[in-house]
Amino acid sequence: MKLLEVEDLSVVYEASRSDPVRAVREVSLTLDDGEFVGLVGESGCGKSTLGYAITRMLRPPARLESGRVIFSGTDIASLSGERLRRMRSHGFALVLQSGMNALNPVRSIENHFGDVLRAHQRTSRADVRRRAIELLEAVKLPPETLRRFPHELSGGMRQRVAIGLVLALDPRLVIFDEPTTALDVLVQKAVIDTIKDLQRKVGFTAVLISHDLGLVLDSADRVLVMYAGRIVEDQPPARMVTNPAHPYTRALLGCYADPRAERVELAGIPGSPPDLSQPSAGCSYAPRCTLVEPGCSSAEPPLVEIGPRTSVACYVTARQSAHPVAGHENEGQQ
Amino acid sequence: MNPIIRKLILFVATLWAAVTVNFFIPRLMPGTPGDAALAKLAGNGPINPAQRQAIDATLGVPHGSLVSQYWTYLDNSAHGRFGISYTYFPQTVSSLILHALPWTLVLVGTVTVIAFVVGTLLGVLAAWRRGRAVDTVATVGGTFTSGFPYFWTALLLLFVFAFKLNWFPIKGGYAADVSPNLSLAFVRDAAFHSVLPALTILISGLGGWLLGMRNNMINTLGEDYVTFAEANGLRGRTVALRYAARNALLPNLTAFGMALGLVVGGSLLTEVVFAYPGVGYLLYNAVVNEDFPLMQALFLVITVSVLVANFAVDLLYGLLDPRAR
Repeated sequence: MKLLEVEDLSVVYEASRSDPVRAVREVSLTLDDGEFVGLVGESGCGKSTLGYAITRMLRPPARLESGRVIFSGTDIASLSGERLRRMRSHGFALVLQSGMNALNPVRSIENHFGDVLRAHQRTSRADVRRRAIELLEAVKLPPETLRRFPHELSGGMRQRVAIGLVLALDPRLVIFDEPTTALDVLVQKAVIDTIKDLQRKVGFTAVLISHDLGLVLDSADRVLVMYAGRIVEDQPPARMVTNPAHPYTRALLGCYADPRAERVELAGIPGSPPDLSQPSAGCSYAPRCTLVEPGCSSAEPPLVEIGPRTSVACYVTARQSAHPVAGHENEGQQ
Repeated sequence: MNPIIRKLILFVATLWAAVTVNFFIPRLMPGTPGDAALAKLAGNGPINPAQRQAIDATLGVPHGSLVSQYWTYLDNSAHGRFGISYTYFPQTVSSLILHALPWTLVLVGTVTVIAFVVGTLLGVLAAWRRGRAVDTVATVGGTFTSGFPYFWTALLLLFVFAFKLNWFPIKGGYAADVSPNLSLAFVRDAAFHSVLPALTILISGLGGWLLGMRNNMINTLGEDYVTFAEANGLRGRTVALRYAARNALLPNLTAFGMALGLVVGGSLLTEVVFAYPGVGYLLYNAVVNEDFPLMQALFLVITVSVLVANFAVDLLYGLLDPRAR
């Protein structure tokens, strides 16, 4: 069942002294109930901006330029004020990149839970405590954590508290914006495992935003690859590893070393992403692409379905795999 | 060790150091007050030992070693015995200070607290409504008024409201025909006299608090915990006060402690312009008349009150910021 539909979403960063930067460009996507979706791309590709746009957390100079975000039947892109605030309970939630700093240094963990729970309904002190202990248990923290202040907790523990706070909202969609970036690999693994575990138990839809392709391929059921403000590929991870559709995904996979290989050969991606403040004609990956053809510079390639649960925004790949699913080509995406 | 006890020990040590420095610095200077007086007299001819003794006795030049003098000094300071004022002879220094202190504490103290509270609240509002009309008016107004020098504001108010319009009294803390006691008539009269000095301090002080708080608050509004609180759907007022303002207040608190400590020193220029019977005016008269006992005692009182205010703010900081415990 569809939970979220994003249609033609564009976000622009407006600076007074330079050209506006179009960080997210005409993105459309659909998320189903209970999916675990990974969103990968390099720095500046617009993945976090997309996450902030979906949860309506964009702040100036970022501005929602156009598009609709339909969350279980309501266009939340047009909501504001108190109605938007109410949607944050039983709705959509965001876990920030640096969970380290996501907690108010002068409030105890118990007060944090109190603030979130009371923001959406009247809750007695005893109920706050009971619910907070349950939530802490869900993120594998002891009940004593309630009495602690943020500076007394480690980075991993703080990120767990942040996840617990988000769960207090009873959300149906949680966007995790690089939740483990500031943590070391072992803590990172533990936090991701907790997220996966909760997602399965509670049943919310999760979007994991990361620049770490390995992490996303490991944990998600569906992977979206972003490049220069657009989604260029959409595939389940298993098939993406063996059969990447977009030349950019292929190049990204080439950047990872197999630790068991006798001789490691690493390939970078020559060139750099385009300047999003300048309008571009044609495919924005074309200047770095190995498969580039003259037709690539005519217009941005649309995201088209080329197989079951597989879409790609590339003229060349789409044409090569056009025969088996030719009929789907005009439908756009799945 | 209990942090409060640790802070208390530190406070006592600092206090002792300040009092000690206050004692030794004048004594490090070569010569005694007696020598200075004798040098003037020497022009009239040779001086015999009897004259010298008489002068020493008049000026109270101390006998005994430096150490015994130091103990006497500590004992006297602890009991508030600061000697007799030269200017207001034969009044004692401590009675002069005790009479001036309430005027300054009530006027400057109250206005400093009001300026801090109102300035901080306006700063919060300006930052929360950043870029809107409230912000523009508050920020431009704050920058404008905080640029006024105290004495200039004082003179301007005096000229317009007291001299030209004759709405308020031109000088003093109370009218000549009422006697200072706690009657309603006196309190009303004193309040009436304090309007212009209070306005002066408020106008010059408010802008600084407002701008400081606005800038701190804009910084904390960019913090992740504010974004996260908003993303969790906390009410706007909760986010503004408990998350942003609460943290933005902490750096300002230190400045407030300093300001509170300096209250006792009085608002010198304001009190001078309005001939207000406070500590600032007393200090001004002491300096102008070279009244050393009065000056030394006033400096000691000011030093001690700055230390006490800082100690109090330090304790308050521990309550407000769990990281400082």
